[in-house]
Amino acid sequence: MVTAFNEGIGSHRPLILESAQDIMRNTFIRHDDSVDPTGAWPAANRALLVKVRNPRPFTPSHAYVFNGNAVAGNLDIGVYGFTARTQLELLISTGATAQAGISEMQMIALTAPVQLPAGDLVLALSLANTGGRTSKRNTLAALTYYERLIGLAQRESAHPLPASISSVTAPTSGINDPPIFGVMERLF
Amino acid sequence: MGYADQFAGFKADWLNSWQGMADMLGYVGTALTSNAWPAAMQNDAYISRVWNPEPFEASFAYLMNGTTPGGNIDIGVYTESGEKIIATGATAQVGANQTQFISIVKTVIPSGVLLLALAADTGGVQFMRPNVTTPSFPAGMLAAYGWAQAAASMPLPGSLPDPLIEATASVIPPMFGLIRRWP
Repeated sequence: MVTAFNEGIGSHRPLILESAQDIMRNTFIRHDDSVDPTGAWPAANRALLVKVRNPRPFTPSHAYVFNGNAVAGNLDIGVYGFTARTQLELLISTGATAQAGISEMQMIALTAPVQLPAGDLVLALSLANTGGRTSKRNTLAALTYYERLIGLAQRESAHPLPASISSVTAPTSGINDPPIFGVMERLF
Repeated sequence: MGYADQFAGFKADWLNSWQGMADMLGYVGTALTSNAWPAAMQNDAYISRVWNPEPFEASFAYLMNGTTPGGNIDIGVYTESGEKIIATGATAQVGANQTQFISIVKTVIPSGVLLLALAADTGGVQFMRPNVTTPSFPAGMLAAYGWAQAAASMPLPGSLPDPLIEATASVIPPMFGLIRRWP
């Protein structure tokens, strides 16, 4: 909604969708460029979902997650499209993959690339257990009031990510800040 | 190109009463703090001029409640000329320290300049607003960034009073708006 000045001058846009993009581009939520690596996964097999806007079709080559200061078990990163307001179909995902690399950006190649359509999409990340941690943007004000305004949701029993999701629920209090993850078309 | 602009899309499906202040001043990233609805504004409405870049179907109105909600409120949106598009109608303000969502008839909100409105019938009830300190919030700033006040507008009328009046200078207005909520 808040249109950046640069949007009006045909600026170059790398092809990337990220869970925190609404926070980064939203003047309602101040942040700095640091990350907080202490985000414990709130529940085993829970998927955190973030609605994002994709301005143009592109074919991501990799998914990524910014791991926290502990890693454990498997994770799954994917992108869903909407079939109804709260009904989703999986377009692309990594499948269950070992979380590896403490406090590192873990890149996972997508073995069967699919072109993502323009429009509203949902990024999804699920972890199989609560031992792994993820990093989040260090927002300078609690997101308690904003979590639903910026499109966060969750789904239980969602590891690995299911082919379809028939309903989602509002995020549980205490997981207001989304972990940093997404998909991108990498240059190499 | 700023760092944030490197990301692709941006979800464009909510309006916030502080949009103008945020765009121009970057004020809103501060912590929120609870603030009382002025007794002098009982049954009046805050009006905030906002810009909607593209149409979206709103399903909820929302406001950020403070420590002691109470009474009734009404949240709505008007055209630039002051004709009501949709409003919640008088609704109990409930839920301390949380964002209260109020279902509305799904309505396509047009692009362009719009007027968000929040009316309350009880002075002293608490709302959340950015924790802006008075010295950096001089008199006249509300008017400069698109805020006004509508007298005797609870519940919100079909047409806003003409003319609107200057918003109470000593009070920092609350956060509220409309959204196409998911989930």
